[in-house]
Amino acid sequence: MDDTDAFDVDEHASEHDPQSRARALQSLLVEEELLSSDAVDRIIATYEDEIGPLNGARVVARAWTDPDYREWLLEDAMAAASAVVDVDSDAIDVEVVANSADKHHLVVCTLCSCYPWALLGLPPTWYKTPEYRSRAVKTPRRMLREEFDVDLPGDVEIHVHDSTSELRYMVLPQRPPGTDDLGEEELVELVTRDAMIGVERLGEGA
Amino acid sequence: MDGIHDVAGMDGFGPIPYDDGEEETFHERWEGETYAAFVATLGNGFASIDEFRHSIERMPPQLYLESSYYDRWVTALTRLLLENDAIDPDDFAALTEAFEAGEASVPEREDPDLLGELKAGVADAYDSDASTAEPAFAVGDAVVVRNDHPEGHTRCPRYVRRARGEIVADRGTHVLPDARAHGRDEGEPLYQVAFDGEELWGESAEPGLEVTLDLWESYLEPADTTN
Repeated sequence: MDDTDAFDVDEHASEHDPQSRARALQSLLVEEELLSSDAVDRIIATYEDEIGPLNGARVVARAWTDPDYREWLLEDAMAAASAVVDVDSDAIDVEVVANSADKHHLVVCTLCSCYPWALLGLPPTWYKTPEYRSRAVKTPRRMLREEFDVDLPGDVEIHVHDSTSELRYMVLPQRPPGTDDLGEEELVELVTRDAMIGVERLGEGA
Repeated sequence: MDGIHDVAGMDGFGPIPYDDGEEETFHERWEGETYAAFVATLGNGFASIDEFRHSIERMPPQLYLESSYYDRWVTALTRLLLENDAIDPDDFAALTEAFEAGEASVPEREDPDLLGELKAGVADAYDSDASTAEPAFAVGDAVVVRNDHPEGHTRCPRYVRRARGEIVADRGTHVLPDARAHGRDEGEPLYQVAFDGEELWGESAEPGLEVTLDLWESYLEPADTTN
């Protein structure tokens, strides 16, 4: 550790841009055979092309059309999700929480950026900011109104989930009214990432 | 630790930079490369997820706030790789300057088997299962969060300390982040604890607000002994 005492990581970070530092790190990892070029490309491609909010949307649409599936999803989310989308049910533990006419759920990680990535992909930038993390547990109604144009009626309770363990949370939004004629594939298109975080409210009481 | 990362309830950060629903992947190539370096660091066993989080928390507050999200990751990963002697500080410093001057490029090396091994290592780094411990609390119990301010890592944010809540779910036994962030694997019962908005934020709390967190047993004590 003597060598690292002389090198101040934080001071170095404040003096050099992250892209150059990231590439220096990557070069050394590849040289030391701790990383490979094809692994880098495949990791990036996975998040660009395969893992995203569409996984969550498919799960939600199935829950909207099949009461038994909905029950399973609320009971054992990743097992139920893996029956609908290509996700590894061991990769992450997720609990799905259901919105109702008188209850709204909101997800945050006040300490960092924990997020149900297997179902929603990488967290959006705003989710990771101190601006969102500081306000979501204290004044969620005002935050939803001022920042997300969601005016939650006074009689709707709000339940905020602060993700402090390795368990992640995803919101099951209400099925929007007037969608009785739509099939599962059409319903998928109505499900938004933001509704599955809880900063958008689908269905009644919006 | 009571660091700048523990922002819940702080005022004054201003408007949320909301992107109005834009799909999120990586904005720039180096952000994805940083994610790959994260996979390599955890996947090769240089750090657990808690050591990684704690490495970010060790950034000076001003640098933390000034850095973008993946910039923080670069800094945190660099610290962990240096502490594990996985990279040499002089090589790293020289290479950074070479990239900044546009005089370096990342070497190409293919290894098709590596990613599978790294993914298995990452799963280990996140694995929070621990051997079963007998829970001290049951669903429905009233608890108070201990007023502890550890210097190391903790997943008990400041805003719930001293607050009274109720156990609403027993999550089973999980590795205690406060221990694993410092290289020790210790299992503890984990509970979902619900707090009323007014308990956390006083009389001006928004009506009908409930906040839940997953908290480890050592963060909690029975409510009746502290009333």
